[in-house]
Amino acid sequence: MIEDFEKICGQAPEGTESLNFQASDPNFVFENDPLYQTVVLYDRDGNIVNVNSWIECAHYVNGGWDNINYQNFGGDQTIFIGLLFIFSFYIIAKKFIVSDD
Amino acid sequence: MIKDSYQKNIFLTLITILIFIVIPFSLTSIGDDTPAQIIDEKSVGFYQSNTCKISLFQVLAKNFSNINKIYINNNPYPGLQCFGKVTGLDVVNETYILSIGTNPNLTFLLQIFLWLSLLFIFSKKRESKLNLSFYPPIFIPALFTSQHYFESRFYKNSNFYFNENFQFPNYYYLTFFFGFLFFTFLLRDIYETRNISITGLLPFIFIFNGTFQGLNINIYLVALSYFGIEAIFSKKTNSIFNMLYFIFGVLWIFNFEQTSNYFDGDKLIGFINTSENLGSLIFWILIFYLITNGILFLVNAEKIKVSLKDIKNNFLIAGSLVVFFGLLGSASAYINFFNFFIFGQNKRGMRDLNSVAGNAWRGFAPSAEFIGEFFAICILITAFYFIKTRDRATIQDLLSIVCLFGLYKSNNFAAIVSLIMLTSVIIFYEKIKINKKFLIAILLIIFIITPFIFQALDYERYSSALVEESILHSNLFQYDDPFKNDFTKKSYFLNKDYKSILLVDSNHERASSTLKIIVDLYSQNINVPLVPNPISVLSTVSLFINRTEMWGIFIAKHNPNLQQSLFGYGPFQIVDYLNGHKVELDVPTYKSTALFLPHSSILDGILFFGIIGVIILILFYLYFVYKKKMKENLFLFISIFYIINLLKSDSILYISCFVLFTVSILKSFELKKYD
Repeated sequence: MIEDFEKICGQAPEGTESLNFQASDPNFVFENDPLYQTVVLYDRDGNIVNVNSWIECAHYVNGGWDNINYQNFGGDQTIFIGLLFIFSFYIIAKKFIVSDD
Repeated sequence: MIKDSYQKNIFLTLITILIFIVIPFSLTSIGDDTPAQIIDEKSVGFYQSNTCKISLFQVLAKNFSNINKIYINNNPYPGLQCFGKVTGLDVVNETYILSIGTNPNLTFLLQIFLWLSLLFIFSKKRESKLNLSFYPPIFIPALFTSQHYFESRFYKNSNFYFNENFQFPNYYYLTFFFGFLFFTFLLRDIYETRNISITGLLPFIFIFNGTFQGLNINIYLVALSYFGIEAIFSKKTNSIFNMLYFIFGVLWIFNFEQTSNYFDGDKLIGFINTSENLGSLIFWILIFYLITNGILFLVNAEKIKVSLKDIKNNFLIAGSLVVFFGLLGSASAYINFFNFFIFGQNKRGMRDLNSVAGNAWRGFAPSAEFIGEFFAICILITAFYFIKTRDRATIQDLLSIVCLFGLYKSNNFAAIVSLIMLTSVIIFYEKIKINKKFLIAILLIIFIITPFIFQALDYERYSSALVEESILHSNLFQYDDPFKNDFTKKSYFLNKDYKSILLVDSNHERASSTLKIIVDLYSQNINVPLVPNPISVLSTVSLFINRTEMWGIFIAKHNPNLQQSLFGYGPFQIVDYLNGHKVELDVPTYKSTALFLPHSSILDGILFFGIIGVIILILFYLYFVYKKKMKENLFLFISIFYIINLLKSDSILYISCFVLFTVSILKSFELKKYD
């Protein structure tokens, strides 16, 4: 659906009703759109690509690229902080709330 | 009251499942409302483009009546944002493979909380509180976190967050350090306040395998190590074992040669070393020492007497659950996926009811042979109970039919034969007083008539089968055409000229040290009448129990130096055996990368502890048989069952079998504490 691509790539050019993704051609060169604001996309491994047209952006998004850099997400930090919180809560609850009998 | 307690347990279990299973696999990113689609050819691109957005339960809800063949793959590598969500969809041979993120940092914590919660819910309150020391929490976190550094190659491939640099803050190491620390606190609190008996828990370690997803560690290793440290600091260890193990440990370390060989763990994951470096060797040496002491500590500390009836019922329940979840996992891709997470399986359960290689169905378990032995033990215990007590059967005993079904599907002939044999022994046990003199008399008779039995067989043909199989699997002759290699080897078999094979074409350099010894022993000229060649005996036995090929591969692969052959590589060290020496496996292409284990726990023992180590273990056992009074109890028969079956199976490499076997041996004898 076009709307899915618009969430990442911005508004589709006028007249874009459907998208036809051809088989990958390594020699194909996308034409730059001077009116299109460059969008930075990332893949799961943190690789970066700057896309300069809506159609180029749509192609990359279709291939799994996103505008969120997951490498900066800090999920390991989040898990650690959550663990510390639960651990601390357990120690405090055990000491002050739960009786010994 | 009992009904209230039962209902309370069920309610708490459901809450536990909701918190630790349903919620993590239902969450989607905030603000993201990407809906799931029916899994078919048209949606492959959709799922590939919308990674880490759609949760597993969203997919389940949308595809509940989808008739397409789906397999749900657990993908541990991606980070937290992909946890419980679709990370990809592929089509392979008409099966849709849906990958779900299961980052090990989070899975580790969820599994700890899940298993300890269930342990807490289903155990009763202890009448008087125990007091354990605070030593284990000091050592356990550091010990088990260090494994991530020493086995970095394994962890690098299985976790996006893996970071081996010791820079603060390294959240990867901090998570596991504090995770293990939290675990020790929880375990301590549960053990001090709840009635936990190792005898009562034994059967359930066959259903809750306990391997942490994405990690090479098992929860039972951590728990037993905890009690092992407790045993050390409370001086409840065996001094002879300590001394011998120390000597072996020094030998293993000084004889160690570091290589870059690697083993991904396969179905042994959680109870095997994946690397071949000094740090990982020391880690597993310590682990074996601690878990052995941990088991000894728990057996001796056990004050709660579990009745024979409860043991029987627990084994039947556990056996039936293994069958039940195995069948469910075969029927549903979603249950197959959750089984792996909830029970900590080493290997995904089978996807259908079709047997492996046409005959054995492993179902829920990593190995059909291993689980067949367990089912046979469940039946053995039931038989023992009814023979001893002459009690009436109850509805719960109908679960033995389920275990029999599991035994039948596993197709473990040796387990079935030894079950029938031991049940007969139990029946006649009280009629004919079986004591040590009777056993010695039986053994002597077997020893005397064996040579005559061999003479009556086609001994000439059987005696060389193992040597020939070893040669066929060895990387000798280097012709491009494998058929020519094979043909050339077989041309020497006619005259049994095995020594000559090793002398030509530099084959002596390519042959394993074990093969050279076997050929030498077989070809030696000493001929004592009525005393068969030991290699010939081994070869004949291997044919009868269908182990010639597997033991032949072992001989071809096992290439130790003198010290390694005498003292082994160290506990759980299998990497050098699997990858250290090149062999020629005459198997179909799809099997060439399969895991070729020795198929005998004696051979596993030789790998880990060497010939001297195995001899010492056997001598210790014989010493106990001779000196100590044997308890005429259930565990004696379980230990004998395992001794028979472990000769031809690798089941000792699975922690559940290792624990049950060790506990059975300890409980078979009237040992003074820490004897």
